[in-house]
Amino acid sequence: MDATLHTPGALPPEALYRRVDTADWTFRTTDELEDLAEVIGQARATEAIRFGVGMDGGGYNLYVLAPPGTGGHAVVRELLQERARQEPVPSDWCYVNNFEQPHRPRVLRLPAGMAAKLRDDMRELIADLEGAIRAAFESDEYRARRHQLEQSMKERHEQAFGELGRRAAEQKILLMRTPTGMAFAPTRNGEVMTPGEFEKLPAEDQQRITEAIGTLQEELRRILEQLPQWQREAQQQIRALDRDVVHAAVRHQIAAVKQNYSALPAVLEYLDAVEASVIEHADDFRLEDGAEWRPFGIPAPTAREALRRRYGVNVLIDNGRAEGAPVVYADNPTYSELIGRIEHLAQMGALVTDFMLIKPGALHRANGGYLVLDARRVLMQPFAWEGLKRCLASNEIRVEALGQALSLISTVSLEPEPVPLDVKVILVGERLLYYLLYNLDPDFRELFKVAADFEEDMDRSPETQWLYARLVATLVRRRRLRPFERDAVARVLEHGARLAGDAEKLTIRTQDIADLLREADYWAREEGRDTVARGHVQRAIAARLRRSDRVRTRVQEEIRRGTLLIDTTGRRLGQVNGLSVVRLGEAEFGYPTRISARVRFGKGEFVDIQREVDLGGPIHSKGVLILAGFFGARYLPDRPLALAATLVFEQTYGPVDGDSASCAELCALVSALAEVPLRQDLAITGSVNQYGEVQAIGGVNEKIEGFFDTCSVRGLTGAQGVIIPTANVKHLMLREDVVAACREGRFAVYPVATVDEAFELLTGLPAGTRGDDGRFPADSVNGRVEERLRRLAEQAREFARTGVEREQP
Amino acid sequence: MSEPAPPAIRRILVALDASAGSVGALRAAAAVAAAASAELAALYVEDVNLLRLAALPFAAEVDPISGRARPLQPEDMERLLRVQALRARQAFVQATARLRASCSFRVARGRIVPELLQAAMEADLVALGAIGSLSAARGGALGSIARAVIAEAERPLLILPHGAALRPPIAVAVDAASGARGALALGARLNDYFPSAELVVLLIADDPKQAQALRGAAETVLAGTRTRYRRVAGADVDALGRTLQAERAGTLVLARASRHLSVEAVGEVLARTNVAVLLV
Repeated sequence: MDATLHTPGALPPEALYRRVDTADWTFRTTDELEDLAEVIGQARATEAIRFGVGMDGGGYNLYVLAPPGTGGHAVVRELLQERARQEPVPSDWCYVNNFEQPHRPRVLRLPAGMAAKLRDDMRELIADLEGAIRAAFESDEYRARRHQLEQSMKERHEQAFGELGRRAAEQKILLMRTPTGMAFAPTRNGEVMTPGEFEKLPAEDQQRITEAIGTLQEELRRILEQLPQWQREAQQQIRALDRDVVHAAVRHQIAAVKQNYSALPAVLEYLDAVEASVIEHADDFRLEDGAEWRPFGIPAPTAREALRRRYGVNVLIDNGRAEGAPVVYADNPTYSELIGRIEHLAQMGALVTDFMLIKPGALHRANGGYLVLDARRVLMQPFAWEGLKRCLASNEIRVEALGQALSLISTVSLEPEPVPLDVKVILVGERLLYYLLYNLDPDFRELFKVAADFEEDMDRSPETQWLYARLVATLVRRRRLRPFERDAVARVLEHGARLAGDAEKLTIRTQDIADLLREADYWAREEGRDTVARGHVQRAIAARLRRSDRVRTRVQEEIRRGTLLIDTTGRRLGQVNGLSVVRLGEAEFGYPTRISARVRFGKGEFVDIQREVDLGGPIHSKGVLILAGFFGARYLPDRPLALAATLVFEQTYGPVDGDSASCAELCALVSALAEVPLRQDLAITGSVNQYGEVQAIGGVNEKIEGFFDTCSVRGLTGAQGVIIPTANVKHLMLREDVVAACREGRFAVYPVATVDEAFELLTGLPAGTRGDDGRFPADSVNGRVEERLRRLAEQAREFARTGVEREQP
Repeated sequence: MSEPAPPAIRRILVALDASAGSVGALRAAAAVAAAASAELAALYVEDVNLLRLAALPFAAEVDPISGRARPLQPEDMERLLRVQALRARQAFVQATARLRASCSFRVARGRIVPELLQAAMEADLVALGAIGSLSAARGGALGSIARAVIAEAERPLLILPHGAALRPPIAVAVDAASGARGALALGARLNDYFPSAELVVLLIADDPKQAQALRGAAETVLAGTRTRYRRVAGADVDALGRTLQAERAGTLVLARASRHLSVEAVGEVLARTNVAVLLV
């Protein structure tokens, strides 16, 4: 039986704020520090990225789980660029006309830099051909041959009709034209015979003429039947002549271009197709550009423009000036930005397109290299995710208008030959998205086999502190800020620990650090200083706090004015100061909340009012049930608990969750049962397990500061303080004024490992342990509780007995 | 070169048969009539030979498209000629709608060439299409009627091939043998109808000295007319045709007395260049 007091002592000021020991640091300002080339604290993630990037083959794309502010994008880009520099420059890609099926443009792959050359060569070739073909058709040789062909055709006509006319004339018959045809008439002295003259002829002459005319008509019919055939023959001959002339004019020029691409069969094949097409469409080269055709005042493409388009080369990707493999970051990953698009031109109110209007997407640009995407943005863009997956699964980029794919629009469109795809996609996004995709999208697992998980903080040790100082120096230089003095760096580092919420850790959310550096630089500039001192960093931290301080100030104000009832002096029965933490945007602050407990005779119920009205979260409820478990096991385990207890967070108007108040609730309950008042100048936080051990909670710094603020407004009495779980001591990185008050003995932080220690601190009485007789000392807290419970149990038995008697007749 | 200058154009005869060439001739004639304030007379001749043909018992015509023969009746022919005359009249009314000078349209019945030559006697200029609707279907740029009229008419003749129009620049071909004075004077008058047009004189001469002489003679006639001179070496139709193309000439004026002038040569020029030809 132990009835002595074991009150734990207050923590020394060193334990409340772990300063950086700058004794080993020899530099004066960050100017003297080297840049930090490597990424600190992300060994796991960088290993994963290196592995993912190095793995060849399908599906080894990466998902980088980078919480906001960890600089995941920057790290990924740096690692990729480092690797991409050593990799070969990928091919050029271009689209060219498919002369046989114009709606299916052909894709050509060329060594880097050759696509632009092909485009220029083709442009020059077509300009040359225009001249050469026109010259060929204007040459005297061509004209002479053509004239000869036309002449012989004409002669054939004239000969046929002339022969017929002569044969008719021999029989004194005239071939004449009527308004609607041709006819034969017998003549007399060069004039057509009149019917009277004809009738005067002897019958045999009449017979002869009639027969002759019949024969001549038959011959005329034969000639007329042959006319179209002759015309066709003449046209064929002229066409063959044209073809020969063009071929002669074109052959050498195209052969000269072909020499440049002798190692590229696909290009040679294309040039053959160009040759055939030019010969086929030689007439187009002869069109004069003349007056612009402007129907309804709308400019229409001229023949020459149309020609240049037809034989143009649409350079999709020109890697001529690239060094290494591409690393592309698609900022706005819409479907068409990723996969490319087919644009349309409005012509005379219709939308038209051709292969020259195919525009590349980010996948084209990244082909042969790396594509970095922000996971959330890809998922937010309609169809972008599905489009991306389709390309990765099929290893080809098929440019397809979205409207076309969904049958939303119907206009002239293309089906370009797909481009083979060899790309590594790196998605950077939040952890939640990764787990959602992993569980809900079966393709995701197949396509993104490597996950790189970014840490938010790292261990704090002299070595890592040194690296951290160099990181600060690097950030300072990169952002062109004033150099930071050694103490200023130390303060940044200490703030890094506070941001991590742990004195033994440092945050590596570089975004937050960078913001702090920039803000400290601002204050140094305001003061006209060349270097940033510790005071500037401190000021930046304070200013940031102040900016987001409105709600905290209001809460503290309402406590001061007595609207929120919080006692900070004296002792009260069944009432204790608990601590809550609120997170609002970037502000996180703590404030005290009154927790009260009342007990009466009952049937062993613990009523958590919060839970009864559905304002308590499941973890809160769990805390209360554990508390009941502890209670039942520690006090009078062999008798029924004959009490009814109610617990409540006073003056809370919204949901409460978390078990960090379970220790406070237990203390309030014990106070109410033992009828021992509790100190109100202390606040307590911590969760409790069924064995009465006090367990760690979150937001310890904010909670201590919250109670400190409440007390310091009313004036620190020197007796005030906060009870925290011992397990939380390592997390302490308290505000400067709190540490100062503790150092001066005006405030205190007490670590407790068990509820008994808390009882002793709050009541000033020993907690008491069971003696050999199995009983707690009578004047200890536990003893008083058990005594009260015993009384209640007796009462219950008495009540049960008398209640039965009364009912007997 | 001492013949008198041609008389002013006061009356123009146009031979109409509703063919495209004759409508072109009608338009050209109307343009000249408007410019010269001359009277415009159109003549449509119903060919008596066609009527006779239709009256023959076995008369038939061969359809040029199907090659089939179909019987002809005199009343059919009468109707066909009436329809053609009506079309000619419609074309005439349309072409002369805005003409202030006096216009007349006459239908005559008879043999075409004599009727035309007869009417031409009263005109200062005769316009006709190079190929008419009744010319024999036998190719060539000149129809049988145009040939006959060229051979026999004494008046200045304006011949329009299919699709051609009277347009500047006006080119006058001059050689040592031709009575170039009349051609030059009429060419200059036509040229005056087109504001700011330049007359082109083609000097057909083998050597520059000869050309210089021809130019000197021409300049005396053309005083006051904006003129450019081109020498055509070699007196063949090929060279003339090339020069006409190079100069983008729209109308060629030729003197009948020219060494080049034969019906065949005019036909060749028309076949190659598609210009309107004015024979003086």
